[in-house]
Amino acid sequence: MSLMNRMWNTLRSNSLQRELDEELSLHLDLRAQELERAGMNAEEARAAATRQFGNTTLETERMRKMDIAAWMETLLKDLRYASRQFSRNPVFTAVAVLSLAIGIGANTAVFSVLNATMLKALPVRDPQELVNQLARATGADVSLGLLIDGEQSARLFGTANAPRIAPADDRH
Amino acid sequence: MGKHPNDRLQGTLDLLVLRSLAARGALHGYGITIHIQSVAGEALRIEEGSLYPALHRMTQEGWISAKWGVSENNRRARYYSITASGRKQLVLERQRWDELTGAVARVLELA
Repeated sequence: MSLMNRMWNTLRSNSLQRELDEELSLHLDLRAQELERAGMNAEEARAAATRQFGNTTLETERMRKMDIAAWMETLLKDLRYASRQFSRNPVFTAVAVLSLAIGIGANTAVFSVLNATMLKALPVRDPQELVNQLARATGADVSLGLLIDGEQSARLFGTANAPRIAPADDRH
Repeated sequence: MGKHPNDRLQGTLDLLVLRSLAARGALHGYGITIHIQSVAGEALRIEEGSLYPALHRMTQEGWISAKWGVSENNRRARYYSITASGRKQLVLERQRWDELTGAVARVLELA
């Protein structure tokens, strides 16, 4: 049985269990039939067949454990084999590890930038109503006075906020 | 699975099952029990409960293959048959068995 089969067995333990149950119940029925032919009544025959068979739950449990143990053992072997191959080809390993590291690093960096600039909403209330206010004449940053003016004429703007405030002597 | 080659109890059951399947073709679990019982008589009784784990294990080893079929009383039954690697294993198990019984016999003769 291949590794895939074993993995499958550990996962689909329900259908495996059903198949085993079917197999074991056939065994018990055939045994009981034989005992009946030998002269036992049906009830005695069933009891004797079960007694002769032993603990079915224990047996099926043992089989399940076998599958899991076999699977883990194969997995362990594969891991050992992989690490052996890696230590045998240190250059290949270094290149593989490095390209993975650079790939993951670059991805993370690009995502962080995109996330901050394009995906995340700006940290203000109702960001879709945000306007950029510039002093019309110069195109320079808005001074603190203008900003306060803007905020006070609250019919126009809800709140005012500025990432930078121009120095006082820049005021127009 | 790390099976000690000296684990005779397990090895003997394997040997009996492989030999039965080699002789009789495809059999279901109960068929194997009956075959061994009819050949060996009452002196040797295989433990029925441990037969199925053994069959399962031997299927995983690739010594036998399992296929669903229809039993003599028209029920679904899993039929086991021996594979090529099972035949090799049978030869090996038989050698071990002969070695073991030969060694025991020699001790009994001398003692």
